[in-house]
Amino acid sequence: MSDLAISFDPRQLIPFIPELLLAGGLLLFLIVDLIIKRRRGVVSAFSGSILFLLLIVIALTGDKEVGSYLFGAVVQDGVTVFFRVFFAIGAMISLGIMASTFKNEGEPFILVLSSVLGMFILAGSNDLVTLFVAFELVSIPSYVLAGYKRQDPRSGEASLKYVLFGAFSSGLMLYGFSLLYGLTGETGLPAMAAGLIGIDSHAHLVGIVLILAGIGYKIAMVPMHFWCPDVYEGSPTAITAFFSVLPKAAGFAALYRISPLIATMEPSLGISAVGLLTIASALTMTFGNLGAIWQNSLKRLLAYSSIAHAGYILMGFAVLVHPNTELHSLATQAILLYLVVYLFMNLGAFLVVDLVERRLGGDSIGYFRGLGKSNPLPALALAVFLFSLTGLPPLAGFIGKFYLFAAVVKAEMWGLAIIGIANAVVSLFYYVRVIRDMFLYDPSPAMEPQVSKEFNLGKLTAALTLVTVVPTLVLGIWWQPLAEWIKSRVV
Amino acid sequence: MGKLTLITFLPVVGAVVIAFLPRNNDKLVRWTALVVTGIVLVIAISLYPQFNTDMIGINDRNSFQFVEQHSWIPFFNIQYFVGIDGLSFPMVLLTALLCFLCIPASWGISKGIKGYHAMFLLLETGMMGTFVALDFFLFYVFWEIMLLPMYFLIGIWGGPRRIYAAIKFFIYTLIGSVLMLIVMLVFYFNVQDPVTGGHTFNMLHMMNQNNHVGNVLLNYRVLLWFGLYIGFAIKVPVFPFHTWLPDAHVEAPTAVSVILAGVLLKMGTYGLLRISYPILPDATKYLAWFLAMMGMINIIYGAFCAMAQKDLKKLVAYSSISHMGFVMLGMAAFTDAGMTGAVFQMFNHGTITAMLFLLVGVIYDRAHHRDINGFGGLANVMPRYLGIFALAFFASLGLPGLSGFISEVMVFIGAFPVFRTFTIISVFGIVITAAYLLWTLQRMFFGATNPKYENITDINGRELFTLVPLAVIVLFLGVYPHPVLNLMNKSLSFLGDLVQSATVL
Repeated sequence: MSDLAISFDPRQLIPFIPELLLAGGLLLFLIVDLIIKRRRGVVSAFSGSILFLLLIVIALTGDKEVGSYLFGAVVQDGVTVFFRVFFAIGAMISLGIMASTFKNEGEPFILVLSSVLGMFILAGSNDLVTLFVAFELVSIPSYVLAGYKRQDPRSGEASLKYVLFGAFSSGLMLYGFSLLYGLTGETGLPAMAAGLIGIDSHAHLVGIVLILAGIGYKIAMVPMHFWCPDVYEGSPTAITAFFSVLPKAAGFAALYRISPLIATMEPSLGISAVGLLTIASALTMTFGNLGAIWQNSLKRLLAYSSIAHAGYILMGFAVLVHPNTELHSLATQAILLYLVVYLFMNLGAFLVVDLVERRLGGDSIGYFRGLGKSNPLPALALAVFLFSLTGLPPLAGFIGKFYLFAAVVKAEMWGLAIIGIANAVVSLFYYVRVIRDMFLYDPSPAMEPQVSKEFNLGKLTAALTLVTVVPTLVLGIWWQPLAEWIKSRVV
Repeated sequence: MGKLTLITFLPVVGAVVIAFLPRNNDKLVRWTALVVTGIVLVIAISLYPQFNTDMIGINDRNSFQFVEQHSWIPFFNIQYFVGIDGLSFPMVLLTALLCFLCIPASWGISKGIKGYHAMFLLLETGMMGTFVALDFFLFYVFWEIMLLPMYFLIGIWGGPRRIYAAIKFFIYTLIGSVLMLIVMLVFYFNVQDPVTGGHTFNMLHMMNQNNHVGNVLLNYRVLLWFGLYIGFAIKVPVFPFHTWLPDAHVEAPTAVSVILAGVLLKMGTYGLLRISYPILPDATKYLAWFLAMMGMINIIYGAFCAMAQKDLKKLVAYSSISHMGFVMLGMAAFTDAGMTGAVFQMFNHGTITAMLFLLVGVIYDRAHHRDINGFGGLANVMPRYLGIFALAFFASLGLPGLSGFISEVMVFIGAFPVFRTFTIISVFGIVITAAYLLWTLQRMFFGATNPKYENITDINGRELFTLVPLAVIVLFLGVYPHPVLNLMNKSLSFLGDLVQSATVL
C-alpha cells in the first residue's frame, strides 16, 4: 500500500478531469441550491447544461487514448470518450425535460447529476471494484428520483420496487464478482479475463451468469425486467425519460467492459457466449414487443418498447462476444450508433408524452386520440419518433437497426436475424396503433372537451423537440460523420 | 442536377411547399399538386426522344442512360446511383402519367386537402425513386418510403374499414421488406467491389457473379431468392400473399386505388426483374417452373374470385391479381416474347386498371355504392360512361385491337414452348375473365333502368380529362405497340438470355 502511495503521480488525474469537474460542480450545486430561493429548477437545469457543454468540450479536446491509469482502476479509450459525450448530451436533454416539471426544485437535478457522475466513471471502469462503486452511484440517486412524486402512492411503489430489485441484483452481481475473484485472484478486468482462460469450473459459469443478471437488471434484460414497466409508470414522466435512456446506456457501457469476461466461457467451458447472449437478446426483444401490444398507458408502452430496444442492442453484444475478433469492431460500432439514435428518438418520444401529460392531464392512449387534429405539431413529432423506433427509413431508427442487422448478418447468425426482423414487424403494430389514434381517430366523446383543446408548446419544449427531431430526421439520411466519429473511437 | 433526380425529388419539394400553403385555400393546394405532377410528367416525356433504345442497361453501367452516381455514405459504400434502361423507363413513364391524372381524380376529396396532396406527392417520390435506383440501399429506402404515405392515404381518406385495411397493408408489406433487408445485407457482405475490394451495395456489381466471394452454393442462393421473392410477391401480390389487396382497394379512395393497382403492384414484378433475375440468375433459372406455376395460379384464382364478387371495386381488384399472373407467367419463360410481353403487360395493366378504378370512382361518386346488382340499365342514362367503361372492360379481357391483347398474346407465345401445361391452363383464365367482365357489363348497363338512377348525370369533363388520355393510349398501343415495345426489347431479351445462360451449380 505504501508503495502505491509513493508512486502516485498527480498527473495521473489529468484524464480524470471530466469526472472531477462533475464532482466539483455537484458540490457547487448543493451550495447554490441553498442560496437561491426562486426558480431553482430552471436555474439548475440551465447551469447543469452549461456544465455538461463544458464537459463535452473537455472530453473531445482531451480526446487522447491514454490507456489505463489510477493503478489500472480506470481506462481511457475511445469508447470512454464516446460515453462521456453521450452521457453529457443525454443529461442535457434530460435536464431540459425536467425543467418543465420541477420548476422550483433543485434536488432532482442534483440527483441526476450524481447519477451521471456514476455513469462517467462506469464508462471507463477497468476494475471490478470501480465498476461496482460506479454502478451503485448510478443506481442510488435513481431510487430517490423514482419516488419523487411524494404525494402519489404509485411513485412510492416505483421507488420501493426499484430499490428492492436493485439491491437484489447488486447482490447477485457482487456474488458473481467474488466467484471470479476467487478463481483468478484479480480484480482488474484485463487480468481477470486473461486469468479465466482455461479455468473449467462451475464457479466460472455461475459467476458470469450472476454478473450478467446484475447488469441485466440495469438494462431491463429478460428475465430481470419485471421492475421496468412499474417503475417507468410510477415515476414522474420527466424522470422516466431519463431512466429510459441514460442508466440503461450505463448498463450497456458496463456490459461492454464485462464482455471480455463473458467471452472467456467459450474457450474455457465450451459454453457458447454467443449462444447465451443470443438467447438473452431474443427473449428480451420478443418479450418487450409482445408486452407492449397490450398497453394503454403510453409510459408503459414505451417502457416495454425500451425493453425491446435493449433486446435489439443485445444483438450487437451477441456479436461482440463472437470468437471471430474481426467482427468486434462492427459490433461495437453498431451498439454505439444504436445508442445515439435511441437517445434522440426515445427522449423525444417521452418529451411529447410528458408534454401531453402536463397539458391534458394523462398519458393513457385516450389523451392522444385525435391529437393530430387539435395539436398537429406535437402529434407529428411523436409520429416521427415512433416511426423511427419502428425502424422505418428514412429515419434514424432505421440506420440503427441497419447497423445491428449488418453485424448479425456478417456473423451469419441467421436465427437471431430472423427473430430480429419478426420483432421489427410486431413492433410496428403497437407504434402504429398510437399514430393511428392520433391521426385516424377523432377524440372519444367522453374525453373530447379535455383533449380537443389546442395548447401551446412552450419555448423550452419547442426547443427540445427540435433538438430531438432534427437528429432523428437527419441521421436517417446523412449519418456519415457520426459513423466516422464512432469508428475512430472504436478502432 | 440530372433529370432523374429532378423527377424523383420534385414531388417531395412540392409536398413541402404544400405543407406551408395557407389553410382553407383548397384550390391553391390542388393546383400546386397538379403543376408539380405536370412538370414531372413533362420531364419524363422529354426523356423519350433522348432515350437510346439500342442501349441495353440491365447489368452494364455504360449502357444505362441519364446516369447519376455520387457517393452518399462512403462509410458503407452506399451511393446515390440512379439510371434508367428499357426495363425501368416504361415504369417511370407510367408512374409520371398516372400520378398526374390522379390529381384531378382527387378533386372530390374534401377533408385534409393539404395532407392528402402532400402524402400523394411523397408517394410519387418513393415510386420514382424505386424505379430509377441502381444502388440496393437506395432502392430499399425508396421502397420503404412508399409505405408511410400509403398508410395514411388509405387510413385517413379511405372507406369505412379503412383503418383495418391500412394496417393490414402496412404489416404485410413490412414483412416483405424486412426480409429484403436481410438479403440485401447478405449480398453486401458477399459482394466485392472490383475496383476498391470493399463491400458494395451497387446492384450492377452484385449482378457480376465474379464479384460474389462468399457462399455461392445453389441451396444458399435459392434461400436468398426466396427471401427476395416473398418481399416482391407480397407487393404483386402473388397467391397466397394477396389477401391485403382486396381490403386495401375497397377502402382506398379512387386515386389511391389507381396508384396502388397501376404502379405499386408493378413494384413486385419490377423488383424480381431488376434484382432477383440478374443477381441470382442461377436460382431464378432453377425456380422458373415455380414462377410460372404461381403465375398460372394467380390467373385462374384471381379470375374465379373476381367472378364471385358483388362489389365492383373488389371485382377490379381481383382482376388485377389475375392480370399480374400473366406478367409472372411471361417472365418465367425467359424467351424474348415472354419477357417483353410481361413488361408490356405491366405497362398495359397500369393504364387499363387505372381506367377501371377511375370508372368505379365515377359511378361511386354518383350512386354512393358499388353493388354490381344494384344498378341496371345505366346504358340509357349514361351513354358516354358506357362507352369508356366498355372500352376499358374490353381492353381488360384482351380484345384484339386494344393494348391488353398484344401483351397477353406475347406472354402466351413466349410461355407456350417452355411451359405447355401451365400456359394451356392459363388460357382458360381469359375465358373466365371474359365471362365475369361481360356479365358485369350486362348487369350494370343493360335491362330496365333502375328508377333510382333515372336522373343520374353522365360522366363530366373533369372525369373525361382523366380517362381520355388513358383510353387513347390503350387504343393506340393496341394498334401500334411499337413505341413502347421498342423501348424495352433490347434490355429484356438481354435479361432473358442472361438468366437462360446461367449455369445452375
